[in-house]
Amino acid sequence: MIIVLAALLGVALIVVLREGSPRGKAADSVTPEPTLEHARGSVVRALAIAEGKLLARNPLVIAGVALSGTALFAVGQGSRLFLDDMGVALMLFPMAGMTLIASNLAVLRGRRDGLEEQFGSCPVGPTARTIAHSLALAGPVLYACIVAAAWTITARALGSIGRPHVVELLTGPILVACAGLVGILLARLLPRSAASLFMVIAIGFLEGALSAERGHLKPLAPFMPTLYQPVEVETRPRGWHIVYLLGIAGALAFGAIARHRRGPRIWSALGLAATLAISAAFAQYRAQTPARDARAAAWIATPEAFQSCRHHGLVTYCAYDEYAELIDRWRAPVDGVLALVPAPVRARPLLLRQRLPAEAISGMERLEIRAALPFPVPSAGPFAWSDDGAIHPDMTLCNHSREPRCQIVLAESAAAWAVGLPISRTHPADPAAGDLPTEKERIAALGLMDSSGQARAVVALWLTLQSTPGIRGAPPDTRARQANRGTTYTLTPCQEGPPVAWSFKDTGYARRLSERPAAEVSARLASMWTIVTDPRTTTRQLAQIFDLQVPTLAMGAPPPAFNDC
Amino acid sequence: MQALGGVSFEAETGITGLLGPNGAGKTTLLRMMATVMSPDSGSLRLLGHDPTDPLARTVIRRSLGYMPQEPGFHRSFSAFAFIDYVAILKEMTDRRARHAEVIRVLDLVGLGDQARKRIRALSGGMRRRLALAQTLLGDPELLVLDEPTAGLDPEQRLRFRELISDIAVRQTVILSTHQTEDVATLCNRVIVMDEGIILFEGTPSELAEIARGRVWAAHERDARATLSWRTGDGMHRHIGVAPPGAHLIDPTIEDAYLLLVGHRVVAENVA
Repeated sequence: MIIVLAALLGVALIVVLREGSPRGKAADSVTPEPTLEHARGSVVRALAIAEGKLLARNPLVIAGVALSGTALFAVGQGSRLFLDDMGVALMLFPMAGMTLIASNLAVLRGRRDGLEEQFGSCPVGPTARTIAHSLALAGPVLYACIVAAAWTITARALGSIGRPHVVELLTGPILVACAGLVGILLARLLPRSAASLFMVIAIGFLEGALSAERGHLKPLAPFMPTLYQPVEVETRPRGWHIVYLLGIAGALAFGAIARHRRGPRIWSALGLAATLAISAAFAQYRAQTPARDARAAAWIATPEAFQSCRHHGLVTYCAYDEYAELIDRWRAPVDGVLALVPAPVRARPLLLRQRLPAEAISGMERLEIRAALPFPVPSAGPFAWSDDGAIHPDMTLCNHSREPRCQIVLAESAAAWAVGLPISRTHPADPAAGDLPTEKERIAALGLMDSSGQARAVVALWLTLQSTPGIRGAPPDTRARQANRGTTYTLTPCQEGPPVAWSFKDTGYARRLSERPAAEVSARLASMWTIVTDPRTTTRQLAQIFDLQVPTLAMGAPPPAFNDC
Repeated sequence: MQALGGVSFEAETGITGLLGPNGAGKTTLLRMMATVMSPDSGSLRLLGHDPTDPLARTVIRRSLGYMPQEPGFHRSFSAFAFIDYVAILKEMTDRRARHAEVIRVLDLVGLGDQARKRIRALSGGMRRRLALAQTLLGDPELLVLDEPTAGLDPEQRLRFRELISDIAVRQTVILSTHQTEDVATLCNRVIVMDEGIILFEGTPSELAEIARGRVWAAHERDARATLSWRTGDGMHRHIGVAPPGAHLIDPTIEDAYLLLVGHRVVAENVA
């Protein structure tokens, strides 16, 4: 409905502006451009260089670069470049909009300044000028490439993983070129400066309508917003999308040329470009097949079939191929915990298997994929203990700017596993048999585990504190932070949801314990490991063993300022 | 409405002036000569080519410099940048040669020292000279200037005349003007037009000769005269029928012009 309204608005606007344009009538008296106009390449090149310099210095284009650059670095700072590269094109939208207006004004410059007659008496006609204006878009396109490249280099330097797809990165600059060509075509069809502003708004509407679309038309949106799910689940075929955009760009360029120079070659080129765009659009539409949906569902439900594993001792790290470089980052906190536990514990095999986060599954737009998933969907829950005894890092864990969270979550998980905290949350009910979970079971599955009062919880907490080298340098007070639950404290350095919730007393005891020499505590824990990890051993008993004083309220107070999120 | 009808003339090296009242068809004729307008019917040949033929039109444009009645400018450009831009539109692609040509034409119109100045900062007279400079790019065979001296003060007009007369030694200049003085001092040929037709074609002196024997000086105004006005010495200058007691005086181009198009002037005055 929005698309239809936007189209009607655009048509109405064109009709109104044309009727109200006395200059448009005057232009009819100018001799039509010859069909065999002589446009030498050297002339077009010289004019394109002149126009390119003007466009590159245009304040609108510069403002667009600043806006897009700021947006890209402030909002779109990526952590998985092979996925976040899709957001680059969206962040370049301000630049594309500004380029549209600037190129439109550049074409209309002569008309605006009353130079049409003077220029009309020159041997270089409007066709060559249109081509030169089109080529002059190389400046803004180059700016867009630089912004995209700078974003990639910066994100990579900040610890983002993977490499962006070149085709996806090029989508943004091509869209900037398309926007500039829209401005040129608009100037040739409707020589009114205000029209370009309306066109930017109309494209914004169109973009919003198409990208909000949950169906097959979504890939036709020029700018694709970043999706939460990984690329394997994303069904936009990027190759066809760029062909689609190039087809549109060609159609726009030849459409602008055809305004003054008509002939079989121009019509053929225009037809070819339009056919290319339509074919690529259709190919995108057709690419979303049930087989592809089924593969995406399998990718989520059976990660073992798609992951590569690495073994370090008895610890197995498995990650999807794109995330393989995360394994090295997972190792440090896990190794830190294992170094502090007795040998028999280290002799137990441990599996870390990457899973899609639960919120990514619930927010997935392709309903066909969601429908193909089993129940319950295996996911990386926000808890240290999982449904199968393994540790399940999600896709964002240990990416850049998440380092403290990465260390804490993995250390907590490993520590919880070491002391025997994992609780099997495998659902007893079988949904295939129509055996739905009860409300209590469902809440239990989603809720935090209450480990308060258990000595092993304090041990796990102490192991976590000792094996988080990334945050070990921080003052003790900054390691604990009050969670939303009020009565419990967590080591998560931000408020986005505690991976493990610990009671105030347990946290206080762990901090008392951490004030002791680590080697001494470690040796003592190893000697009494069976006792201190027995679920029946209470924190009070642990305090007696280590002669710990009851923690004061101040020990659990939130830190004054600590936010690494 | 027909702006031009049966107009036929040839112009050679030198300056040809188009004289005529408003609406005479001067600008229409010059726009056709500048190839920015094509005739509805009839034929037009410029520099030996037919401008209605697309390829021939491009050939003509390569040998043409055109200054419209109200020349436009990119005011944010410097004088140099603007002329340089027009030079590209005139197919001057070699950067060095083009820049040298831009400097040459700016020097020619006396704007060499203003080259880096923004056009918006130039005076009206300087802008007129800048408009002339762009027509001189590439030393075109044919210069079409539509009222080039309009809006200039006497000193600027003199400088303009000096400049155009220098150019006309090698090139064909066709200019339209309301100023008979310009025609008298500049042109070696003059065409008087009115209502789309040519009333006279010849040299300025031949034009003045038309009025010989029809210009009188008298003490009193006479209603029978085509035009009559009081001059600075207190006498009345009559064109047309001799009033009683008048004596013949030497005619000027202006007298002849008024004699040719005087009925329009009278009608406009009445209106």
